[in-house]
Amino acid sequence: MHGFGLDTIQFIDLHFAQVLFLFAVGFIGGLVSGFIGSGGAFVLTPGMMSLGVPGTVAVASNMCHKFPKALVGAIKRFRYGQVDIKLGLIVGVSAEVGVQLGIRVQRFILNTWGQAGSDLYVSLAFVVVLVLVGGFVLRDAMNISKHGGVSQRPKLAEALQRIELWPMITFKRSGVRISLWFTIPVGLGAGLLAATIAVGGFIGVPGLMYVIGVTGIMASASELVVAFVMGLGGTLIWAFYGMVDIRLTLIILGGSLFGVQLGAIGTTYVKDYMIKLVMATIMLMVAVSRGLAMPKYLAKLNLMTLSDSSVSLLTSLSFGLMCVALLVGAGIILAAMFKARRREALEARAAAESV
Amino acid sequence: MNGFFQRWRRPAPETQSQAEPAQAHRPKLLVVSRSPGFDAHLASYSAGMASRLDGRILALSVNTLPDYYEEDEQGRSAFRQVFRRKAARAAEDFARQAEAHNVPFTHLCKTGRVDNAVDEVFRDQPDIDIVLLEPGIVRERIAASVPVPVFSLARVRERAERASRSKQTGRRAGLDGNAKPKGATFMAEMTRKQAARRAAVFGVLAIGLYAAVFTHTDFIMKYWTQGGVSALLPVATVFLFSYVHGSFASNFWTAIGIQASRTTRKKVTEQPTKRPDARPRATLQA
Repeated sequence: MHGFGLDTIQFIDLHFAQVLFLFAVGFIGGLVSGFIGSGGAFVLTPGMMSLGVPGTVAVASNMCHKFPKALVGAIKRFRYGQVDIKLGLIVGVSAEVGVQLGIRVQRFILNTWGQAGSDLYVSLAFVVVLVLVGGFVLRDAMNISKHGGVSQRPKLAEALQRIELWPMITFKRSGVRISLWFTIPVGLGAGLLAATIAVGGFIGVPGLMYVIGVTGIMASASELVVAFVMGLGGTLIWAFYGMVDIRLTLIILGGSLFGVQLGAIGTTYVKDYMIKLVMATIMLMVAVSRGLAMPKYLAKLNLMTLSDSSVSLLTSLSFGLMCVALLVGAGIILAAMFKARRREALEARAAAESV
Repeated sequence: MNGFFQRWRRPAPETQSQAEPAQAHRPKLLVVSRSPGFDAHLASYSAGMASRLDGRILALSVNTLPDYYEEDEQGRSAFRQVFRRKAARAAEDFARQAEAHNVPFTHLCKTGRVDNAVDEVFRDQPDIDIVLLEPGIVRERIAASVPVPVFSLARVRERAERASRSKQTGRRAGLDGNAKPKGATFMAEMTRKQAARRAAVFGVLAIGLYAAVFTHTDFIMKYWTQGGVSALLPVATVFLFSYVHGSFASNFWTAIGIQASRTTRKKVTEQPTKRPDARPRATLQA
């Protein structure tokens, strides 16, 4: 059974430029993950594939870097009192089930409509989920920003918390008491999405915020626990089949452990809605990027005609936009953080001068 | 019936204050005691601290046992009055110490749980900058609901003693034990220096680990991709790297001065939703 991939999978030779690229993407992806709880993976997998890494190895190596990164980020944010471990573990377990479900759905689609059908499904999932959820999160972030940064507990979460359905669970750290049954769909959704587009947090974090009712900061931090549980489970499965290229994993980890800590530090400087704003911006840009990739798959399925040059142009545009999404997210985080740091330093100086 | 409600009603906050001068931007220290008196060390420490910060003191005495005498309302009321009187007397001593340091002083007296009392004070006076607690009050319980730094005198003392001990043994420490506190800048610098040392140690270890992997890639790629039980090898490797390299990265950011906001201990959660109390209450069947 094991050793399955060895004959067929070619592990690539690494050059300095590739190492640098992976390190940099790891760093920026880590920065975004540390801040919003997930992200980065959507650029890393296609990024690695563009270097010639086979798809399965790219996914496996990416996942293998994801869980230690999430662990380090979660520990850092736990020190700031932002992580609800109980919530993360409970949602993480149902997310693990969601991942298994997602893999089955993927396999079914692959068997029925082939590779292009599967790719189209993935892109469609990207576009639909990210536009709907991202749009909602963005609207909420704008509303909060308009009202001076004061966020209120979402109405849906409030309604669900009022329903006394056994077993009720109290999450002390988040200050939420809710039935277990309402946490399961969030986990399942995150897992399903993680198995489909590799970034479960795009459902997990909004789910934690709007369905369970925890704050943006707490949701993004607890999502790191969910990502750890999901990533560890996924890595064990991929590693069982010998698909993890530990060199790639370690290079990405080299950058992302710097990034994830910086992102975690960044959360202590910003208001809650900034998390939502960064998340929504990245989600919507990625949605557009995947939208650009869709004609290629439609052409493969003979649902539309497209010249080869247009396909390659759209593909590079799509990948480029994903990188831009990640860079924009990282830029917003760093700008917000350094602005707040400057303000704090000025205040401290003013206080020192007034003594 | 009316009397019954009056009897069980939460006692109204009892406020007793001496005139508070208008001080717009002076840091405000909330000094909390749950006994009628104020710990002498706490009083002198907070007066000194307020003086250095050019701040003002708001002293809070909390009567945590307002219903200690359960027999009758008269007894309870008398007990509260005794507490209030004693607290006022202790506050006068405290006020004299503050006055000696030229620090404006205000005193409040409240009843109920300490955390609730502190919350109430914060609602009325959100401009408090630091909270100092007398020994015995659980710091974490207050810190959980308060958006500013909270210090417990016991901890301050412990740290000072530890610092003075390490000074005696020739090691430099963050907080000086004697009467020459070096201040926050000194502490921050020390932390950064320590972080730099740690970053150097973990950095060397991390480089060593990376070098070990990348000089033996053939060996590693052979055994690490075998699958089956060997699946544990990549997992164990990333755990090891995340500890060593993670510690390096963490100390690296601290060493170059990128640390969490000083106001991190801001409130990130709302009050936990309490489980509805369905237990039967002892009621008076009148």
